[in-house]
Amino acid sequence: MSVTPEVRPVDPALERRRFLYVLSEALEKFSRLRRILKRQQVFIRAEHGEEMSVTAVDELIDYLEEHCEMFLGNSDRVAHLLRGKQLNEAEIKAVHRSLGILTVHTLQVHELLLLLPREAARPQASFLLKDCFGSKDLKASIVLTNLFSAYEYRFEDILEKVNVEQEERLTLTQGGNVLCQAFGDKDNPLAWAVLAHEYGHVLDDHDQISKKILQPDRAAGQTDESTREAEPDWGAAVVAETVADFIAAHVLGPASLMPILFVEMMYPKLRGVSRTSAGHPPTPVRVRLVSGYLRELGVSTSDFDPVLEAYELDYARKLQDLGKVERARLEGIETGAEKLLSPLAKAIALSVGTLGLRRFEDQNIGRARALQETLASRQPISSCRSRGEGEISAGLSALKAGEATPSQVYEVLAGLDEVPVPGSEILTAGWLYRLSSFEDVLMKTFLGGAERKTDLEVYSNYAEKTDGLLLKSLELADVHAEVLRRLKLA
Amino acid sequence: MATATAPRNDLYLSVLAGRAISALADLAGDPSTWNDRIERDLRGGIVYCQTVRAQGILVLRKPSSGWNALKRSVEDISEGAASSGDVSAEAQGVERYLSELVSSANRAPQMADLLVAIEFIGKTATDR
Repeated sequence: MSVTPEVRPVDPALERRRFLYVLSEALEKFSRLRRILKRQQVFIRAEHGEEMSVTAVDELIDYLEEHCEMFLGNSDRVAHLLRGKQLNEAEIKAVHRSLGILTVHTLQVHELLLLLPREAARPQASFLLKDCFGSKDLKASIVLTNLFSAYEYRFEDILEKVNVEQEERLTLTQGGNVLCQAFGDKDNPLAWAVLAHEYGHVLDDHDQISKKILQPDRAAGQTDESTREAEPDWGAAVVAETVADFIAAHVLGPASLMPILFVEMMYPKLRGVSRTSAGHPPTPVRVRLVSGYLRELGVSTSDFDPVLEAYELDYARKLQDLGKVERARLEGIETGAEKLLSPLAKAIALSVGTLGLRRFEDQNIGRARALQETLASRQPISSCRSRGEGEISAGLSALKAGEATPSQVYEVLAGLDEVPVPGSEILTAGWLYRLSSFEDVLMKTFLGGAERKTDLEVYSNYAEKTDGLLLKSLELADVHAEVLRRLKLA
Repeated sequence: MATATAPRNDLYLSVLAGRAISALADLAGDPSTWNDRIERDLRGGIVYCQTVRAQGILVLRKPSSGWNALKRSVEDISEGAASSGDVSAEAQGVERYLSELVSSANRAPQMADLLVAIEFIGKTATDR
């Protein structure tokens, strides 16, 4: 694969799929944000009664609704695009641009949530991390914050920028690590793969993985002059990001890549060179490295390939839209990152392998496919039989009356016991369910035709119900595991 | 918690931009279409272009960067900002085109012109 994806000729099916992903992510972000604001509105009304005619929250809700209504002016065109019907170039561009306006201004409101009364992160997010990393005590707190802190900078990076003395900074981090989660992701377990990446940084800091891997002279030889001048610590930062990416992929598999790809596709533009100051290698490099790592682990990415393909197209299109200078700089950084990281990938993989983390395997994907069916029937997926029906049936058939001992019988019947589903499988099943079901819901949302009003509540309810099922699954799986642990101790 | 006491402002620039884009797309789909809504939204597009022209692209960039002091502290927000001269000239061209559409001077919109107008409005309204 070339370093920079070439802009391929228009493939209508792939273009449509890219549009579906962008639309679904934008509508999800919008409806989740609106849900948070409405909840805040209820709190404020309860506290102050009706004497406050218009609050800041009302203004924000109004702002969102105005933008939503603006976008819905394109409902018929969206319905046409969803059904693969012909639109002219200006109509297609209008849909994309209007969706871009909705997205950008929804995300601006998201940033403002920093100023509003806070909500706490869901306990299920900690359950998930504890399960994935096999740790009873994470020594890390999850805090809700803006998208910028959740997806771009770590809390530690921000502390670095704050004007405090080194000693004071050390004191500030003594209370444990802080994992930043976007407000809008609070109820959305599918986005929590980002937390696994963040926790990867915690492990990296603790074990000094990236520092040991990256010899200073090696970094100096591999990055280009301009990048080194602009960001002297760039080499160390991109290696640290790759270590965190590999750790997240190790425990969660290909689903670890999904939130960042959907978020990036949703943005109407590439966020350009300034983003490299956060130390992230350009995302296509991250995708290639993580996919290669998963292949080495024997984990297939095939269920997620449609997303990877659409992302590749999306990135290429947005790269094309950049100005010549910025495009050249971004391509240079991509080449530099690839040159630096590719030879280090094996060493990073080896180091991550020695951390003793619970490894996501191909069979986890197999089980997640089955669990996806359960989700589709609107059931939680917190537990499953410890053995398959075929195995239990064969075991029962092998028992002979008058010959089998009670312990042999109990051993076969133990196959009927339910065991908690690992968090990584719950998340993977959730993603597989989303990828298989969202298109149908979009169709029901955008019916098309003058008499058929577009009802965004259809998509909003679908997202909320899926969140609910996944949250319940993570919670019940944790309770189930705790009960089994206590029984074992007893 | 502090509350907003200012009256509601229904002239969000980005909403004006989005509505103008929809109106242009309606004309692209059926050039003979004309109604009060299209006219109102094109007029909103004119106001949008006038604002961009008068204040430069930074008027649209300010809210997002201004809201985020944290972002300002770690990133150079001026990077990649378009030259205000270029933007102003483009805004003037699109404003003139929208005015012609509204004043019936040009009721047979060409696809290329519509594309330029949609692209300009969409791009400036999502620049952050």
